[in-house]
Amino acid sequence: MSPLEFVFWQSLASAALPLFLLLPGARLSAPLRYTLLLVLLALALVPINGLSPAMYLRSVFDDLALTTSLALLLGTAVRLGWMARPSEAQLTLLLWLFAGMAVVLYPAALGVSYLDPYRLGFAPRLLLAGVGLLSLGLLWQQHYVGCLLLSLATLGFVLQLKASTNYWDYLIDPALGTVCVVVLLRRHWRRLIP
Amino acid sequence: MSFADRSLLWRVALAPFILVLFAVAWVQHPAAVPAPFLDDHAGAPTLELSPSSPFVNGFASSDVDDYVHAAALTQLSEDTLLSVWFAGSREGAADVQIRGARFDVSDESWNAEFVLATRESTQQGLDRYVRKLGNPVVALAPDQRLWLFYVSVSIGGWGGSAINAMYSEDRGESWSAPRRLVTSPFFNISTLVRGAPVFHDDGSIGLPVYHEFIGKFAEYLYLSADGEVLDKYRISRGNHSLQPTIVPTGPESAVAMLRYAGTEHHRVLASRTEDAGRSWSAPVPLEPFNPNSSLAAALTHRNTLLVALNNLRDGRFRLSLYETDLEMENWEHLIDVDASPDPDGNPLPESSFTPALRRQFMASSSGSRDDLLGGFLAEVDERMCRRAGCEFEYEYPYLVHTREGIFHLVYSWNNSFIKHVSFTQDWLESRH
Repeated sequence: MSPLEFVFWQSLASAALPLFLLLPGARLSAPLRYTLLLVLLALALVPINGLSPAMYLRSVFDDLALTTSLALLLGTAVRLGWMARPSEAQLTLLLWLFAGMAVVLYPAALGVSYLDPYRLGFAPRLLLAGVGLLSLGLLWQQHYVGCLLLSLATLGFVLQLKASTNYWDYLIDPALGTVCVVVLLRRHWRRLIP
Repeated sequence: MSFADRSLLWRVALAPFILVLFAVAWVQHPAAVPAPFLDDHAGAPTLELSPSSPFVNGFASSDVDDYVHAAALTQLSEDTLLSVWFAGSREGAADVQIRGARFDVSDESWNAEFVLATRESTQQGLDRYVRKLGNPVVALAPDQRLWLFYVSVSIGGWGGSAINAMYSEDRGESWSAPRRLVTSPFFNISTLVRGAPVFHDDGSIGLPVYHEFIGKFAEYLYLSADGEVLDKYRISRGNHSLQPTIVPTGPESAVAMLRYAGTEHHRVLASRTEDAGRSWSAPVPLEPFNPNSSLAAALTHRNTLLVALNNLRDGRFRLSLYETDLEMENWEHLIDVDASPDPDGNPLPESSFTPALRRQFMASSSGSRDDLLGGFLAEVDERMCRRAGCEFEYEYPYLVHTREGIFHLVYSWNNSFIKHVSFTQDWLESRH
C-alpha cells in the first residue's frame, strides 16, 4: 500500500483516530494532544509480522465508509480545538440518520428477505435522489456537518475512492451503524424497557 | 449584513454545488441491465476432437501429502484444459494453497501441478491479513481473459469469507495481483464462490455465489467484463441453500440448482430466471436427494441437463451422473462415476478398506499416477479413517461441456486427489 493511495490514509485514520478520540485527551494541553495524535499515527504504521496495525484493523473492519472517516476527522478537529462541537440536537439527528440506515440495510442484506436494500447501492439513482434531498434539507436547516458528511461521501463515490462500487459502502458501515444504535439505545433504554 | 443574511447567502451559494454533485453521480451510475446469456456452443464443431475412448478418467492432482478439495475446470484452447483446486494439510489450514494443473487433450495427460495463490501472496496483494484460503473457480472469458475467483478469510470461519479475483491475459502463464470484490455491506464478509461462472453476450460475467454467515442463501453476482461488481440478484433467502450451479438454457433463461443445507426435505433445490439473471423464482425441491453436498450441471447437445451429484440422503460415498429435461421433472440415472464398495456407504474396517482403495486408485489413475500409490496409501489412516472405520468420499463435482462436444468432470476423490472424468456426446447417447 502506497502513501499515494487514498486507502493508505483512510486505513491510517481508521486505526489512529478512534483511539485518539477514546483516550481522555480533553484534559491534556494542546501540545500534548498533538503529540498524542502523532504517536498514535506512527504506531498505526509500525509493521508487525509484515503488516501494520492499520492493515490488521482493515482486515477485520474492511474499509470504513467515507462518512465514518469524515466523522473521525471532524471529531479530531473538535478535540484539537479547530472547530466547535456540533450542537446536541445536530448530533442526535446524525445518530438517528445512521442508525436508521443500519437498521434498514443490514438485517435484509444478511438474507432475512428476498428484498435486498444493498442492491439500491449498485443501481443508486433512487438512493442518490433521497440522499441528495436530505443533504439539501440539512443545508437549509444549517446542519452543515450532516450536509458535509453526505456530500463528501457522495463526492468520494463519484471519484470511486473506495474499492466498492456500491453507494451504501460510502454512506454507512457496520461500525458507524453499531455505534449510533448503541448510543441511542443507551439514551432511551429506560423508555424502551419500563 | 446580519448573521441571518450571511447564513442564507451561504446556503443559497452552496445549494447549486450540491445539486451538481448529485446530478453528476446520477448520470455516472445508471442501472446495469444484464445482457442475454452467451451461447458458447453456437456453431461448435461436434466430436472433431474426442478422447480416444468414450469415457476416460485420471487424476489431475499429483501431491499425495495434502488434503485436496473444491476443484474447478475451464477450457483454455481446443487442446488444453486448466483445473484449479485448494490443497493443504487440512481444510482451513494456513498452508492451504490454490493449485492448478493443465490437461493435454491430445495425449489425455495431466501435467505437473503448480501454485496459483497462497495465503502470503493474497495477503500481499490485498494489503490485509489473510488467515486461510478456500474454494476457487476458474473461467476463460469470451475476450480470452482467464479469470480466477477464490475465497479468503481474514477472521473467523467460512462465514467470514470474501471473494478475490485474479486474471491472466496469457491463459495462465502470468497473473494479476488479487483484488477483493466488495459484495456485502457487513464488513464485506460472508460471500463465497463454488459454481462455474457464466458469461453474457457483452462479455459481462455472472458469478454464482452464496452466503454462509447468519443466513445460508444463494445470489447471482453480476460483474463487468473487467471484473467490476455491477449488481447482484438474490436467488434464495433464509438459512437452507448454498452453492448454486447455474446453467443458461436460452438467451434470457437459466436454471440454478442449489445444495440443500436445511433440515426438512434434503433434496436438490432449483430456481429459474427468465430475464438473464435479474430475478429468480423461489427455489423448489427436486426429485434427487441432496445430503448437503455440492453439485454441478451442464447443458447437453440434446437440450437436456447433465447433473453430477451425490443422490443420497446422507454421506458422499457415491457420485452419480443423471440426465434430466429442462423442466427437471424426469431424472434418468446414467452412471455411478465412483462409489463405495459398500452400497450403503457404511465405514469399512481398514483390512478391507485398503485393498478396495488400492483397486479404485489403480482404476482411476490411468497409469500416469501409478507410482504415487505407495505414498498415497501411507496417508490413508489420517485422512479417511476414524474410530468407526474408513469411508470413501466423492464430492464437489464441477462439470464443463466444451465446444468440441466433450464433457469434463472434476471432483474430490477421497479428499486425496482431484479426479478427472471425460466423456463424449457419443457416450452420452449410448446410455439411452
